[in-house]
Amino acid sequence: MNKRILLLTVCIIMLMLLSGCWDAKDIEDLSIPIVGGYDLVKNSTGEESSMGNKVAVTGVFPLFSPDIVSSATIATNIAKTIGETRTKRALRTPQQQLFGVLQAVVYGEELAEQGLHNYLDILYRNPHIKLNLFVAIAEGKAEELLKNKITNYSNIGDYILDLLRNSYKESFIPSVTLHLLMLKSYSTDKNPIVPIIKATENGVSIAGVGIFKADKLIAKAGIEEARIISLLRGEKVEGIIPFTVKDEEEVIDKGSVNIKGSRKVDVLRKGNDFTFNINVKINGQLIEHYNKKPLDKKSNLLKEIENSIKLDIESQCIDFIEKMQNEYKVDCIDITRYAMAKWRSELKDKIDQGFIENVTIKANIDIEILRNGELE
Amino acid sequence: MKIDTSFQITDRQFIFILIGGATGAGILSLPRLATQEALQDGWISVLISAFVPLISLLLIERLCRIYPKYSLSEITDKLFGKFVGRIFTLGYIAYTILIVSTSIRVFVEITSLYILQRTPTPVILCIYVIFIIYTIMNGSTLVGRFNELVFYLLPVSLLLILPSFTASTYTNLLPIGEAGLINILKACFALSYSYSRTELIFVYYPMLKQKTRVVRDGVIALGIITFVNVFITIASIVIFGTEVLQKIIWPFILLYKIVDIPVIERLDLFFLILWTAIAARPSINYSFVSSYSITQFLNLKLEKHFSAVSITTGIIIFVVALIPKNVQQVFNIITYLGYGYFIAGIGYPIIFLLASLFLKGRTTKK
Repeated sequence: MNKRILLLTVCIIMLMLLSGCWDAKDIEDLSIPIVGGYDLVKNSTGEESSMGNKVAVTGVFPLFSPDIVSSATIATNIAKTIGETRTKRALRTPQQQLFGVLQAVVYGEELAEQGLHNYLDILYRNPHIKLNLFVAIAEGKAEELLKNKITNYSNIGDYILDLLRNSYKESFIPSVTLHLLMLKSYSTDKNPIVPIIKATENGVSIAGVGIFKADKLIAKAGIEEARIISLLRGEKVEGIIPFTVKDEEEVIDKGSVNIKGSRKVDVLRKGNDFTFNINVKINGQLIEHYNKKPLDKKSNLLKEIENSIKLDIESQCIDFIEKMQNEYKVDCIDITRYAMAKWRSELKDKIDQGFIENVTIKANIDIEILRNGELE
Repeated sequence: MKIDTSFQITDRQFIFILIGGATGAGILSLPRLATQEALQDGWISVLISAFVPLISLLLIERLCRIYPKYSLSEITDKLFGKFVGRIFTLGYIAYTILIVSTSIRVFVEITSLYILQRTPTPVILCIYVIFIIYTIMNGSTLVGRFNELVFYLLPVSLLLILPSFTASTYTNLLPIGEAGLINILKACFALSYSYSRTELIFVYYPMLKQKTRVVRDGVIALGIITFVNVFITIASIVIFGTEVLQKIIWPFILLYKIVDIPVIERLDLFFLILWTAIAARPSINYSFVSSYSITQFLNLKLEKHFSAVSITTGIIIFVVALIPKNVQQVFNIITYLGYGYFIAGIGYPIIFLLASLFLKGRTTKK
């Protein structure tokens, strides 16, 4: 009996000690950033090296105490490293900092252009930070964006988080996580794209996607271009696009379709000439059209709508591929990996030596639009 | 302690002990080691590596069939006499203690990193060693039961990886075989630690109730271990790619960090709680083998002294586990222990079999 009581006592003590209950803290006593913003602060000599510059870290800290009217504190600290900014923050706040609940990070444009690897390290290294937190690039400074006033929302952090979380559902902009960014920026055969957000009068909006070469932002694509990039990359995105059907310059129908795409890539090789065939399969639903003709087989109108969208997307794809090869000079449509899958050891060192610029890329669009809704 | 029942295991428990021995700390870094040399063909190395313990299994079974009632310490005494025999036994004891110590230390490092950040390493280690001592001092039957019970957590933890495949890229595995045979075989060498569990049979064989199915049971256990190892390696390659894998210390844990499952905010912590039990098995299985071998080495009686020896072994393990200053040093020791397996798992049975043949020939001549 005594042995059992002793065992039970040991178990209870262990449960209390190991669960950490003895030093538990109320949520009001914790400083929990949900969104972090990172900007480059150039030193007085204007040094360009990312090692020499300081970094400004802005955090959105929601306030949980019912007595406080404001819903979040937004604080910026500047130091040589991100770690040091945490010490500076600790000097100014009585609450304990807790980083495990960080949900999204926003990098300033200038910092992204210098390369993100040094600034991703602290996040990826910390075992308490989840790898599926969302990443975005701020048009301009992240600090200005996070300090932008927002109405009809709990706080700017929640707003940005929901914006990034839902972007792939309706606006063709992929949701990019810390894990995906790390993965693609470190892989020879892949390059990441990251959503760009900007401050507007009413809050924050998505402005397009940032095109990266490894960890460096090299170009920005607007919403229209971002849609084509997403479709060519085979990203799991969807959204609504308008269409116009013409019969010899006369508009006979217009409307909108909700589409989502998937792709297949084939790569062929003749000597040192590589040809990529990207087959983009688009499935969509007609959600709106102005012509009152019924959409049955006799009228052929649905086929004409499909054809119109196909031609439109195909021409945009051709234009973008040309721009990518001549201007961006980086594989931002994620096709190099298919060549690497066949000739990895041979191509590994050639990828950065003008590979994507000198290949032939063909895009073929296969589209299927279904009628939707309760109308004939 | 009733010696007859406490130190007996069923053939089913034998399978679980072998599986339990191999699915511990080594598996967490396995994908990184596999792809270090063999790149995208790391999974082939993992597959080929399974043949080494298979050979070891066949050799040890052959030897144990000759001496079915004797454990390693008694076999070496019979074959080489007290002095030389004890050198072999001492080497085996040192090897098993080092395996347990490194295994526990890796586990403690992970617990400290992910769960109990502010708890000092010796405190976590101490609690863990107490748990191990408590389990082993009750005999091999309890060790077998614990292994069986915890085995069922393994499929659950593997199923939790499946959602991560949504972020996978199958081209990371291609082209198959391009790394070359030499690199694939080099990787096999580095993986030996992950498979090095068949040498446990030296001690568990005499405790088996049914000794006729050892090869069959061993093959089943190795089959399951190989499947788990290949699955984890393939999952890591398609999700991380070989370049990123080299930057991650514990790829297996990170597989759980990229999944976003509603309600469970941090799947990795959920997995680590399961893993606390799963990773305890190698430490328990080897600690038991160490304690049992020490008891026999010192000619002590099991029923009287096994508990005391278990506590002493636990203290030795605790001290040895504290010696490495950091994880890197633990990994260095693990690399050497992997090579040690070739001595304990392949070298020992070959030497013992040759010695027994020689001894048999001499006896026949006389």
